[in-house]
Amino acid sequence: MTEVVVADDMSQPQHRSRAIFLFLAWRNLWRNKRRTWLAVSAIAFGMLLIQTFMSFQAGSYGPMIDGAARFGGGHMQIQVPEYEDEPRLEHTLTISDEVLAELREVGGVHVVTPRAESYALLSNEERSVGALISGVDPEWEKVSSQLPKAIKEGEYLTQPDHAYIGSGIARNLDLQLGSELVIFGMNKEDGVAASIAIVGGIFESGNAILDRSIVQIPLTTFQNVFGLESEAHRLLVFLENSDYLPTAHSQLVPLVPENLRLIDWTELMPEVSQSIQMDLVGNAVVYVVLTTIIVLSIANSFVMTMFERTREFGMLMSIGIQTGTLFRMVLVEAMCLWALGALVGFALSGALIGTLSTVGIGAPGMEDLTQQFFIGDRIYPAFSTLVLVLAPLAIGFGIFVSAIISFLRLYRLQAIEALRDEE
Amino acid sequence: MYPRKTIKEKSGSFKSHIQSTACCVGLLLSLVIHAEVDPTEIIAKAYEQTRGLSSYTELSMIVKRANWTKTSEFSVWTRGDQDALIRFTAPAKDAGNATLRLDNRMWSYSPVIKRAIRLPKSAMSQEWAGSDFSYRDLARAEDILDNYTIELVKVEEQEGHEVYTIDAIPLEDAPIVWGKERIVIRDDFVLVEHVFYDQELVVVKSLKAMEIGELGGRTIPIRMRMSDAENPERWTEVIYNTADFEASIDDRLFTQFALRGEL
Repeated sequence: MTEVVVADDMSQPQHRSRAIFLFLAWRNLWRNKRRTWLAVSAIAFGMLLIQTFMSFQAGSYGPMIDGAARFGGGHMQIQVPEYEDEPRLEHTLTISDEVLAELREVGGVHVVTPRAESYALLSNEERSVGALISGVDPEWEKVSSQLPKAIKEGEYLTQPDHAYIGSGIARNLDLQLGSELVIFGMNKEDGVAASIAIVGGIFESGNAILDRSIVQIPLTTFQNVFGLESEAHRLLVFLENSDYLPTAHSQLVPLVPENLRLIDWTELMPEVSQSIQMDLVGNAVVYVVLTTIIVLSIANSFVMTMFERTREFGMLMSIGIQTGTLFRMVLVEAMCLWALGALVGFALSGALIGTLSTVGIGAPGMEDLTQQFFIGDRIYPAFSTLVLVLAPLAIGFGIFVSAIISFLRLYRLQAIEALRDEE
Repeated sequence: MYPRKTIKEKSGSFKSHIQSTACCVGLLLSLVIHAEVDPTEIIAKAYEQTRGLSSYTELSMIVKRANWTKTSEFSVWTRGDQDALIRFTAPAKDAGNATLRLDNRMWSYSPVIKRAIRLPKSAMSQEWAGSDFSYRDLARAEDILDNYTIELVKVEEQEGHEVYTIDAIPLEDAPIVWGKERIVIRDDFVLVEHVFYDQELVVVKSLKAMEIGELGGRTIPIRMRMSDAENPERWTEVIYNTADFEASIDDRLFTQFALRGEL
């Protein structure tokens, strides 16, 4: 008995015993090819599903945030805290050119531009509606916001007395290019702020709410009409894209003057942030269910292995191989199975996601949804480390745990009885 | 089940009662009220107290904010219980701003742009002329009588007057932002207090008579203050300077021309 070479013989170098484990495990895998391939396909197919879904998920959030930011109020905003609590005309901010220049220097920051806002009545003859009057810097808006690009007729704020209005407002008030538009609100001293603007451009964003509620006029005109000095209400920060959100935020925070507050996109666009949260939770449930099904199917094959190989295990035990060694060997087998599955899975999803990331997928019948969230009509998947490693690691962990549970039976196995086991 | 009907019936019978005693003086009138105590009628009378069949009044308005105070002056012409023209006379930069109300329609005029704009219904809860009053507050009486369930909750003696506390709760389908309004009126139809509650029955703003006196031959709240419950630094006071509650007023005052000051 002493001459039998066992894998965990202490006299053997560690790396050699590991190599033997691996060699034996690999050989054992191919003793039942059909089962191994089935298990590998289960792992690979599961990975393909989860990774593809996840990459599309990840790929849709960025455009969603960017779209909402560019049609709305930027990725982040700087305001006085009072305006955030109660958006009154008098709660204005002033910012020095030096600070503005510093903010614009931050990595990933595309544009920083002020806006002043007030609700006012718009009127044409006997018709009138309420709308948000937004005083903007046309030059900066043109390069950052999507609204100037959504122009349907006319031009974007070329004259100080021009107004850029949504198509819904134009329709409701029966306004054409060149029409006079009466703006009637309250100025900073709570007196009447009234002005006549000329309709210089009409936009159609595809979002009906924006189209019937927004009027842009040049910031300087706004300041004159509403009795502001060189003040504004919001300083909009547009980023190159949403990937820069965390880094830009942490770099901007120390630059913001003490009396002002930097508002992150999650607070600025709670509806976008919440729908992302909901989507994450909803999909997480699906992923957990998928992973569980895959792991259970693999666990099933481990249980079968245990039954089929009882005689073999009994034989190995009776020639002196310790149960612990045997246990480690089957665990290595299980992990080899996983590694093979993961490899095939990576190959499949790499090919699929790689192809789709150039062509994207259309979302027929989702036009309303995509317009509401300002996504383009095609969605492209996005690779990220999380997307790539989460599914294989979760499956691997599940396989590891189920292998331990399945093969713990080895410790209850009696060599003699096992040898007598009929298959 | 139909509180509005019962209100109308009651007020109807009360009106005929009034007519039969039309020749009597106000003192007798108050005795009649005493006997019947119909809260709807009390509210209607209280609003009529500062309006008459047609009236001309001149008022000052003080708007108090955290950092500044603004005083302005305006004149009000009324006809019946529906029509009114309000025109600012001071300060100079606000002079000429005017609001016209005909039935349920309202217009505002700004001399800066020389345009009048028709106010949409959705704008009625907006601040009027930068004060703590809303456009709707300018048309209170009709609102209360048409859109609310009215209930007398308390009668008490105060400084020789019987004082009625009346709760007005909006009917379910009424276009009203408030959850409840509480109106306190003296037996001589002087509005003492008007409190506005939100849907959670928390006080939002309240109108209080700060000074009650004789003007234009009537006892009226001469100085009233509308204050923001959340923000005690914000309030608006309206003070009657002169009042003629039996003025004969040219119908042309209730037209777009008058609104523009072209009359």
